[in-house]
Amino acid sequence: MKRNLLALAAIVMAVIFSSFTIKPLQTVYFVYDGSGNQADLANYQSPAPTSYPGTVAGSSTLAWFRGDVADPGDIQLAEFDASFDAIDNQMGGTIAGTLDDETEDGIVLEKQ
Amino acid sequence: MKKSTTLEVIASLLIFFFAYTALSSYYNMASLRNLLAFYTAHTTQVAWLMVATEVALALLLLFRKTRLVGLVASLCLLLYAGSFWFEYRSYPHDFGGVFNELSYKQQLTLLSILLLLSVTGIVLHLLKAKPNTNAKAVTVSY
Repeated sequence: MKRNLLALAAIVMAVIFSSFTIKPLQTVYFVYDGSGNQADLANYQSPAPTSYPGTVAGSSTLAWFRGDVADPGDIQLAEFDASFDAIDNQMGGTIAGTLDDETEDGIVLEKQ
Repeated sequence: MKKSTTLEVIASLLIFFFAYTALSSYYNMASLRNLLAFYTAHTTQVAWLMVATEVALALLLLFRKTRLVGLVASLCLLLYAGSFWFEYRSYPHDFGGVFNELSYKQQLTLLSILLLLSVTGIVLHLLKAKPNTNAKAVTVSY
């Protein structure tokens, strides 16, 4: 027992730290269909389609962005808007209503 | 620092990483399933498999008798994860734990560090287990 003290301490630390990561909302990914207004929920698919084609490096059109919602089966417009506005003009972009001008992050948004 | 102490520290760091990722994934299982929709149609099964694998790895690393197996298994898992990162570069990689807070490059850096820790751990474990060939043979006669 004493010999495993450090390893046991690692587990205790993991339990303590992970208790702070419990999120009240679910993370979802809004996959843009490639056309239409980017600020409109109707132009996105969520959950992601498994036939998602992927992105092309160096291109500039929005592929997906990450958001938080209470129920992914019933995404509210306000939840979508909050997720969209949290990125729009916050990552180097200056044009409102589009994420094409934002800096690609990979964890928050990706382009295709 | 002694080899055994270094090995203890490496194992503890890996245990912390896997246990933290497993717990974080378990607490946010629904989010993990949403992410896995990019990769598979069997999101629930794969999500549970990921959590179970991480718990198993943490347990293997916890006990000295199974530590080498745990280190080799972590190396295999991390190599697999690394190839996954490159193959699906444009997909999200929020597989739980620390990864959810890091950018793509930071995730790759963390993976590299963990890979290095696993390899160092395996080497140290093998060096530690190597019998001392310089020891003189002792003959016991009755």
